[in-house]
Amino acid sequence: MLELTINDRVVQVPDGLNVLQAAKHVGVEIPHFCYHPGLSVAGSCRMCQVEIEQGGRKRIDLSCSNAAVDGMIVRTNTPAVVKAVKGVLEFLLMNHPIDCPICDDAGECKLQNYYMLHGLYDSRLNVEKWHKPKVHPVGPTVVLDCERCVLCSRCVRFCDEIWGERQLGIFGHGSNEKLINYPGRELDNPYSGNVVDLCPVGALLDKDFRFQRRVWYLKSVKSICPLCSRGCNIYLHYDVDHDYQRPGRRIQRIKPRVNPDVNRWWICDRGRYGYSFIDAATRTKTPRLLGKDADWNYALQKAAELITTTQKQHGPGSISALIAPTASNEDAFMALRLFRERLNIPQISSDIPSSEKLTADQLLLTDDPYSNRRGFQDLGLGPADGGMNAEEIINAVKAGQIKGLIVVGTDLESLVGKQVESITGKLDWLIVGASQENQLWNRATVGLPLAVYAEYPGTFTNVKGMVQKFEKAVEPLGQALPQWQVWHKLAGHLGADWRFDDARAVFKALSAGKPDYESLNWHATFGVDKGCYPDNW
Amino acid sequence: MPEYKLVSKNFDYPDQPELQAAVSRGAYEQWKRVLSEQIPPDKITEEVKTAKLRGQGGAGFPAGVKWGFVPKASRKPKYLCVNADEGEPGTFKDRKLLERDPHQMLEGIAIACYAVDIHTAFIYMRGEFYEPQRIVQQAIDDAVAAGLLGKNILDSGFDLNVIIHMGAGAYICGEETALLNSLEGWKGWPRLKPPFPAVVGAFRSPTVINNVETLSGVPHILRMGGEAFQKIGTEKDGGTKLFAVSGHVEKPGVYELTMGSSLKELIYDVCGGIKGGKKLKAVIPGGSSAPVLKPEEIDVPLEFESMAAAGTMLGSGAVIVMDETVSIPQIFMIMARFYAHESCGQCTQCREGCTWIYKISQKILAGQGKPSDIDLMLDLADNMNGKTVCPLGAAMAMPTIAFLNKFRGEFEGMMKN
Ligand SMILES: Cc1cc2nc3c(=O)[nH]c(=O)nc-3n(C[C@H](O)[C@H](O)[C@H](O)COP(=O)(O)O)c2cc1C
Ligand code: SF4
Ligand code: SF4
Ligand code: FES
Repeated sequence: MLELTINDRVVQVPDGLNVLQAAKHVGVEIPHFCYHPGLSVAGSCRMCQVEIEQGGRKRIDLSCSNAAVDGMIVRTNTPAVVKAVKGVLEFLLMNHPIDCPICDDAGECKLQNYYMLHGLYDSRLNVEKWHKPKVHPVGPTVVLDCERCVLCSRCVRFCDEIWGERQLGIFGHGSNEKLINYPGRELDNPYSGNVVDLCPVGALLDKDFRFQRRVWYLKSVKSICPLCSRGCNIYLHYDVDHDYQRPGRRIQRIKPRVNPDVNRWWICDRGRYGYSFIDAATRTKTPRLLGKDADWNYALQKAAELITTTQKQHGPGSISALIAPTASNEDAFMALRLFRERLNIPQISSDIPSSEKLTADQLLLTDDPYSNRRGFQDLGLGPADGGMNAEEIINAVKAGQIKGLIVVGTDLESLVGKQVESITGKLDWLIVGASQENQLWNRATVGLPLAVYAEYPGTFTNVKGMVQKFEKAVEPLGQALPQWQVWHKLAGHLGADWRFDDARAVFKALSAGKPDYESLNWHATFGVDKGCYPDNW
Repeated sequence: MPEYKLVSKNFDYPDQPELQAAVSRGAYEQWKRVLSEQIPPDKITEEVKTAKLRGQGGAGFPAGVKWGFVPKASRKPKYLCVNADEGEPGTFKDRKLLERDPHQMLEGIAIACYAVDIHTAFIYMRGEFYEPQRIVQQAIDDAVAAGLLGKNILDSGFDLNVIIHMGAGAYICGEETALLNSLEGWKGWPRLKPPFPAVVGAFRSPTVINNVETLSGVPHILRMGGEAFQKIGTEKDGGTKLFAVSGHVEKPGVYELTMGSSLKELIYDVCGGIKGGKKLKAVIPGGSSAPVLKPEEIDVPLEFESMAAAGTMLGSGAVIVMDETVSIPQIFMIMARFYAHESCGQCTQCREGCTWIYKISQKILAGQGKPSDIDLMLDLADNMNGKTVCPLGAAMAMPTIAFLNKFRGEFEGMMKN
């Protein structure tokens, strides 16, 4: 720890911070554009100037490039500092188009916020502005408005330093300088969307979000990306006023949430843009019985009867369950409790090959598209837990040894291709839990519509064994329910009297005796964030 | 006040660029002596410190002190970069040194490298210098062939590879850290300091950067001894300085004077006074970045500290003399245009400020200025001055402030018309 004085307050901060970080640490925000903790220090926007007094000598200097030092006296509000900072702002606005009314970044724009803060209301500009390209697609995902760019070089440094390929650059000199693609290159790296988060203004915008919503109509919850086993921390930004029962896009965008141990400030484009399944037209919304809509009670009653009858006739081994490890720990726990402990079903497997092949990259993406394989393993649903693997179960179905099959979160294409009859023809019944209509859904004896991760709270355990909680952003579509609730209800129909009030109660039960799980403070990460993008540096 | 020819003493021999001729006039004598007597490197650095040899590229930093900053125990290679970018408007003295006496500079380079234990020297040369490039490359080749440079120089075991790197025409690449980036193949953007190049320079290795003229003085220090060299000049500024005088004087050109000579005498005695007997109006004493002086202010010693005390700078020694026919608002516009064009664009204030002031200066010339424009420009200059990565922002701001304050009436006069 070191001690310094910031605006006449004596404060203590951890070692190794620069002055800007130290001030932020104690709640003093120093305006800045080019500095970002995940990138090298450029020191070029000159916005972060402060007065630094050391050994009795005062100077105005950058807070981003000066280390916080014991005994330093920092002032962010002297008349000279305020003049210098206002001066930078004025210069930035000189050639800026001031088209905030049509800019998606309005509300999240540093330039706009600092302008409001420093109240430079009368423009002294008395000359023509430069004009530069306004709508330039820098790559498949991102659009650039050169006139809004403040030339902070964050996006350039991201491509160079974090992804490791030069795709953007600042060309020309003087105030005719512009940020644009490297000649002959596109911004097509698999992390391209991060430059939109980094861009302090509305120069780089997601094609996916452009002109969709004003940001102040969005709310956000903390979540975990479900699209690979890294478990990147994210925010789900959703519409405040959306009537969720109407079809349409409720989740408006995904933003990375800082976690130094997992994803730092970044997420990949697959995670960022891959949320359309949440509001897809193919979502399952109503329980099904023999191809027709049914209500939950009836469908579950039927499912309970099928299970009981088959087990009576053919023994517990005549039923098997295949559950994809995309479900939460709470889902897996309840499935195990019902199928293994209550019903003594011997063959339960989560070892379903994914039909999607992923290749790990140097940053975050792993080669495992399943978000919770590790959690399933920890709970006893992993491939190493003895018994048959998924392929062997399918073979047993084909051999007529299994009469009833429960399939959750997979369409089995990776195991049977499109030849669904090769198994349905051998089964007395098929119970399908799914959030998306798939090739099994319409052939299911009983179809159970499941909520997706954005629709209920829960936990995933990532590839490194970190237990991470995600929260609920929106209501389940239609009558869909979280998977654990489905098993909880089904257990009731099978005569069990379990009382799990909510996901937290389930988590408490599953974490007993597991230190990695018990240490998660359920409430610490709970709650809806006000404001749109709190981790914005 | 006479000229004092030290580094320019062989400028008038047409054959001086040839090795034989140069050697016959004493070239490489000191370099050979350094190697044969195995003079300790530290002793050379000390001698250069004693000589009070100041950086001649503009900033005037004592050369020996700079060499002393290079960490001795570096496990990385160390480099010398010779700044031959000569981009400051009004400056044309390094060109002479390169064209007229390349071996003098090469000897200085060799001695400097020996003193700092450097085995690779880059000469970063202004892109337009085709002729100097040809001449210096020939001189390098000849010196290598004669065993004075290259591998195992004169059987001493000391290697020195000298490489010319041509710039591409950006003024900013004369700034030492922009030069390093450009040399490495990046955009010529100045780097944040610290770290200083002596510690982290070219290719992240310790690097000495010196101007052509600075290095050309080094052989003379070894020849006459540091103290004698210093005594030629003043207490803090040893030796001599080349002045490139242009504009309305009878005899423009490059002149070598002892440090501390008078600016007034340079103009009136050495250069023969104002052309055609006209009245002097203004003098820019150290390249376009140096604040302008009025006729009554030019009786100052040409020396780094005295010039600073007079509110201007010695800079690169480029003296631009303007007589009564000159329109200051027009000169100001031309200067502003230069900086607006040459700002590297990295820092907000310099990128936008230079252009803004340039555009206002155009308006004033077009008769569309308003009296408030002068205070606006002064305030913009204040917001730029000393608040940027490199001194270019200040190099625009300081002359702006001087022009506007010293010739305010002339600017205001254009507004009334
Ligand atoms: C904008 C700018 C341009 C410069 N151009 C040159 C140049 O063309 N030649 C030069 O020798 N120094 C130039 N300098 C000064 C160098 O940064 C540096 O101080 C010098 O090369 C150091 O050598 P010296 O100590 O021998 O003078 C320039 C500085 C600035 C800020
Ligand atoms: S586009 Fe945005 S991030 Fe990139 S340099 Fe411009 S302002 Fe900075
Ligand atoms: S002061 Fe001007 S030239 Fe120097 S680094 Fe900043 S923008 Fe570039
Ligand atoms: S210069 Fe410090 S944040 Fe840009």
